[in-house]
Amino acid sequence: MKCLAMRVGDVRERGDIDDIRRLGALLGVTSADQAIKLVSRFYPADALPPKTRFGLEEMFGSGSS
Amino acid sequence: MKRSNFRLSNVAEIAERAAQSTQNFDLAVREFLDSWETMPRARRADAIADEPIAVGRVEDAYLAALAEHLAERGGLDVPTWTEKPERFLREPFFAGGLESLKAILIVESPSAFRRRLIFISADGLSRPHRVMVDDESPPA
Repeated sequence: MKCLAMRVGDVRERGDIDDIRRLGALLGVTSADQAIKLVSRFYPADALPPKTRFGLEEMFGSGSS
Repeated sequence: MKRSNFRLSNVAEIAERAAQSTQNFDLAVREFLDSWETMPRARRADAIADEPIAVGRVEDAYLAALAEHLAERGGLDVPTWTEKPERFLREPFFAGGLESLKAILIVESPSAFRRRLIFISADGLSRPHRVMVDDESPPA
């Protein structure tokens, strides 16, 4: 849900971004491909909004897993 | 940080709490948004009427944007204090800190924020109960 929304509206905090980073670390996600595969278990990959892909690529790196 | 147990009833209290370090600014904004959603319409104009004290360059502009955004969404008059020059940024502020989202935030940011050079996501002000209602359920 947080990956899909990628909500950012805070001044000092980073909204969903920090939560996604923490969840990724807990789950051992080390690349954007891994993150997208994980999200795709719950939402169709081709329905992911661009900001989800862009955000995950910047957070986890665009290299393949 | 000291904690306050009183629910926020107006925008000015967000700045007071941040200035007094009784509550983190972002948390206070979220709490105010929760109050706003359940606030009787008759009280909403008062909730944005008073100008908040200055707490920081971005925060000052952000509160003006918030008040304008809520006023427009609720069909209320936009408070005049929101138009003061110090309630506008000269340098852009992008929420979230991700370079890759900047272009999207420029498009998505609500107009009251965008015209103050504050760029947030379209759902950046949404609260969890609203998201749960608006979002589609994941496929089985």
